[in-house]
Amino acid sequence: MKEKRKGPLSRAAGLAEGMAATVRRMQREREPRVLVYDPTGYARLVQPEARGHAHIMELAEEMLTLVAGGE
Amino acid sequence: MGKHRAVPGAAATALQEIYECGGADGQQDARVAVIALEQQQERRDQADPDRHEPGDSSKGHVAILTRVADTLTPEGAAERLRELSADVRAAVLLDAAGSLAGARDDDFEHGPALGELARRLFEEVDRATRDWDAEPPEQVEVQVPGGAVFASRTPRWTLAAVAKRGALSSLMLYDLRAVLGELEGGPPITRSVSAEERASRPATEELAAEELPMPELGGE
Repeated sequence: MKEKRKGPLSRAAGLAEGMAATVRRMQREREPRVLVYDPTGYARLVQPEARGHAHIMELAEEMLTLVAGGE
Repeated sequence: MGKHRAVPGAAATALQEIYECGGADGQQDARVAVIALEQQQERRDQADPDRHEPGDSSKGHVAILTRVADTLTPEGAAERLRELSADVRAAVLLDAAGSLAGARDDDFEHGPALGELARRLFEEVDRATRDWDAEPPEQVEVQVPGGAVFASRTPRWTLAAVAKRGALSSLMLYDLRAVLGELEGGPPITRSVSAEERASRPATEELAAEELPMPELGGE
């Protein structure tokens, strides 16, 4: 259980920790990655060293470039 | 019903129309509803502080009215996805043979190229996961710098979307599945329409009938 913070400095530190965790989580979610989902919604990560991973990333980047180029 | 009150000239004319219509069939009921709504709005416009009252029952309640969307066609699937999600920058729909069945992007130019890339994307995913002890993937999410690509497929259709950076994966995948489900004949996606938006539309008999479905009494 998380220890309850006392005092204004501790509370400020708690807020900062929370924000830092959020930023880390957002960065992690935006990390380049390939996820595949089976029909039940179960997600699996295609490992970067796996066969086809690089090609999948290239194709996705190409799609994004195509759309971004048109804007 | 209660006490009668004097109504302004235009509203009185509208009421007169109602009385002259007579009858009790469904069409006339719908017409009555339209005129009553107009009359209420007019009365609200002209109301003085003593006689101010809500123009419509939907203003008294914060009403959320649902509207059944039109039947979804393959050509409209990509557009529907863009309507559902503001994070979608472009979307393409492929048929079972991998041919482009519908596309939507800002300038309508990249459909064929995006469709070809989406087809190759699933080919590569199938190749990468061929040896896995699992069912073939139904959905794919590829996060790349600057955005993300999401794709979902059924035995008949493949729908792929290029999304903005920061788009929520779970929502994107849900929207893809919902559009494909509707395309496959599943229940149509209903969208909520605010009462204000609904009131701003022109009042027609069809809309009134849609708003106030009158059960037919006495039928089998």
